[in-house]
Amino acid sequence: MIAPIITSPAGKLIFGLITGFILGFTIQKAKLVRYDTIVGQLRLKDFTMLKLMLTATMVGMVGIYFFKDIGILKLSIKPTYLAANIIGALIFGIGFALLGYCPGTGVGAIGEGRTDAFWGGLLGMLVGAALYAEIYHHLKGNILKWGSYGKITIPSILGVSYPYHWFIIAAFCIGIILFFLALEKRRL
Amino acid sequence: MKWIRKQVWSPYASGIIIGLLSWFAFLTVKPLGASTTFVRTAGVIERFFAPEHVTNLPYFIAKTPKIDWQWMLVLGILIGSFVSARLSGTFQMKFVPPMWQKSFGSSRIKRWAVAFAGGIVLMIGARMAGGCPTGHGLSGTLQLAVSGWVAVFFFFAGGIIAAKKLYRGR
Repeated sequence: MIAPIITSPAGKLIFGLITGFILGFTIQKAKLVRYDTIVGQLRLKDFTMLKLMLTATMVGMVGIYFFKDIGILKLSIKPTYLAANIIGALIFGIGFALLGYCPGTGVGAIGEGRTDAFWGGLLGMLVGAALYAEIYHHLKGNILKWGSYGKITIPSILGVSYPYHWFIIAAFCIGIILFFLALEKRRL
Repeated sequence: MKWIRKQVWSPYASGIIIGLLSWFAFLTVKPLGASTTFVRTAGVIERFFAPEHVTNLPYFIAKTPKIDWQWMLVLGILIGSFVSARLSGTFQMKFVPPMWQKSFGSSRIKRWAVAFAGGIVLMIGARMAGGCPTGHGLSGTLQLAVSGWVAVFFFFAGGIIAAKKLYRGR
């Protein structure tokens, strides 16, 4: 195992800044920091966001599973809590449509001069985070525990491991590419 | 270096860059994510006014209010976007987005109120779901995590339904 390469606290901060810089630069170029791109995606008029995310997922997946298989990193899976994942994500979706930015793209929008992302988005998100901290311990014992399955992955629930998980990765890549071809055919 | 000043990159090319960046992040420190930073920042600000309350709150005990790798990542997004916008001449101080204006008019108060409410709702949802479109939607899905694919499906399901209601008849 070699990952994570950077272990010193100062090094982590510097690498965070470098990684974020490249991320912010790229999503600005891709117009992903615009309300119109994001709400255009939610209204199914502009597929920039899904094209970008699914391409990144596909490239990321191939690399991360390769690095895992040759033993230089360990996966870092968020546990599945079905109720919290589903209800939380639906609540997120409502806010997502109202705000028109998500946490990462909202910060990018501020960098591009979109002031609604600061006075509305950033302040609202900070208030939302503070409010969640107030209610978390009331949810912890009940709703947040419902449907808890631990750190499961699609290969693990299918009972598939190395090297056969590459069939699943290939299936995802083919599915994503077919989706892109269908989008381009419809000029979306 | 003309590509650096270009106004728009293709979503596929940008997606490849971000996919490679996910390897870089994973190998150097950890998977990409963004929303925990808002909790830490809220905690840092709140601690200023109510230090004891923040120290004893279970969520802030779990997500210590501090500046960490992801906090710097989010700061980097801000700077990277600013530099990119400046280089391509797309930086623009603007409050009301064009698509919003077309349907809801140019009132800043109206846009602010909806954006502020949206920000609150979105962050409560993200924290409950355990991540946002970066942590779940990118880092989760690329590791084939069930939580990631479930969350990203419902992010968009909720968002598509809400956007449809919001823009109905407009």
